Amino acid sequence: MIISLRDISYEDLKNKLNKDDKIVLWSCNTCIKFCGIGGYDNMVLLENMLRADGYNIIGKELISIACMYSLAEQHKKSIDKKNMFQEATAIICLTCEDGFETAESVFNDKKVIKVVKTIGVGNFTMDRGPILTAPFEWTGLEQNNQGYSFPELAEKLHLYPTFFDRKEAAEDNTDENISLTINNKKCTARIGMTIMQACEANSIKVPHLCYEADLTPDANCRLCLCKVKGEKELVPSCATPVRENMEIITQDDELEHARKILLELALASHEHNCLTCSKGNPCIAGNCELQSLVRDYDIKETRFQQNKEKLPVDTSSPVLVYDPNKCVSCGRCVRACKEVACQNNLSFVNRGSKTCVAAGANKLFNQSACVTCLACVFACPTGAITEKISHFEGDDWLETNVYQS
Amino acid sequence: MIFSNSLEYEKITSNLDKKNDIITIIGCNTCIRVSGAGGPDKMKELAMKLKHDGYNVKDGFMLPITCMEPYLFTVKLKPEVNTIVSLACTAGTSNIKRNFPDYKIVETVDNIGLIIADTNKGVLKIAMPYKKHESKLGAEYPLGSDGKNRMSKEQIPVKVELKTL
Ligand code: SF4
Ligand code: SF4
Ligand code: SF4
Ligand code: FES
Repeated sequence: MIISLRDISYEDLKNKLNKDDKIVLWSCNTCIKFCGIGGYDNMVLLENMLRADGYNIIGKELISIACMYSLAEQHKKSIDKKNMFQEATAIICLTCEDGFETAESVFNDKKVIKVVKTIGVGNFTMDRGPILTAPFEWTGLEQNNQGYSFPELAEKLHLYPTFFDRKEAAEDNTDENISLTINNKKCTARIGMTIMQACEANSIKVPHLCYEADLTPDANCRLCLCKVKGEKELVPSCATPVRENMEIITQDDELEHARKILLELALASHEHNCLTCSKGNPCIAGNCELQSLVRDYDIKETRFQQNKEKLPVDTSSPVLVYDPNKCVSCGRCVRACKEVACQNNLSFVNRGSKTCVAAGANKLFNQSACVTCLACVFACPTGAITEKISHFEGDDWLETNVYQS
Repeated sequence: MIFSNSLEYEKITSNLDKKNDIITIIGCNTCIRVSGAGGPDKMKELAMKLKHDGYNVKDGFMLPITCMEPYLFTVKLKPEVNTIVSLACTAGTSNIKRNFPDYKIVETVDNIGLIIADTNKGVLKIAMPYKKHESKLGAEYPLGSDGKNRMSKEQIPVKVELKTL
């Protein structure tokens, strides 16, 4: 992975901006995310800081791999985002310098601001986080397999070891906050938040499967349904905005019963086999959210008849494996391919119980327009789309799938 | 993305011992595949060539990202293996060296630097080279061409310059 550390302070960043700038935050979901600078959460954090200080943020754009010029151009031209980019006067790049150079040329009529110094390549370690092992020579550092950690690098190279600190910005503008009750507890939320976001901000967990913070809500799995006083129907937390004095119940016997049934139906839709499924173990791309929900709800078996029909597993892609037997039709991959990869390569095919995700016009992955960016792998909450790990052996060097353990 | 070019085959075999080395190959399926110096096809090609030339190659693992420890932990080496041929860039190789300190590790590529890619045009452009490859700044190659067939006309309109701290 490419190693970058922040090289400007929050004050320096503000000095590069004008109060009348229309700002778009632009970030990459690959290396820089693991360096603790990029990714969706950091864009939200910086957005909140700059908003509190009176700057005008008109949008946030997450790109699966920001050093792919073609992807950056596709984002700029996409129908949904074209107007936002036309209006923008400043782009703040939470990407490595490679991604910054790409953005600078794609947005050559705008002020493009860089916040990092890219200093070489390295590893993501379990105990020390990102480390630098092969520095660029101008850093004056030697190549070192043990690697330099971020605090060490920050000190040696006069850079910052962490992302911007929320405390450096003004307090949240309380005018924009509203009061509500969630599960009979008084809470506050910001105008424009969904119930799900308000719950997260107040440390209340609402079960969900089709929702992912960096994707547009689709409200199709119905796991996050909750009760709102005055509403006849249950409402999806992931797609319902909060209102002043709203009274919300996210958890009671009735809701939990409904969720249990939904989870059992998801398990019955195909034969899941958690013991041999690679998503059963946590990895960089996350773990199986379906499996953790099933554990949370103490579901041992499904009361519904299981669909035993086996659909063919697509191993044609060099980087991913698609097992439609484990798909729960949440659509996160479809949205990730559209919104984060800007490729629109995935969609649903067939109807009813036969509905499933397909690449291209119902083709194999290697015959589709997939750019192997892994955005769908990171978004999929089950073992349906996973990274390919293979073992090769034998006279013909035959390839077998490896299950993580 | 990181750009690496294959070392000469003879350079790789000069570090291998036909009699004593029992070999596994650990490959990476990200940047190095895009560069053309690695990936499943390249691994098969290298393994077959080594086997054909009498080297004791047991097996190989193709990981999605070799420079990240969680992926490396999925590799299960056979007890008799004592040598790892790394089909990964310098970063992946450092990860292998740190996590398999008792094995002989043989490198197969040279790191050129960081690249910008255009998958529509199928082109890579060198944006941030290591010092010994500074002359390649701005050079463009077809995707997966392993540093061959340098393009004569600019395809990716990104201005690149040498960096300093
Ligand atoms: S996708 Fe999740 S629930 Fe299904 S088999 Fe894999 S680990 Fe189990
Ligand atoms: S289908 Fe291909 S292009 Fe689309 S998100 Fe998945 S890996 Fe990226
Ligand atoms: S493949 Fe994964 S992300 Fe896509 S719809 Fe199925 S379960 Fe959801
Ligand atoms: S998470 Fe809200 S409906 Fe799926």
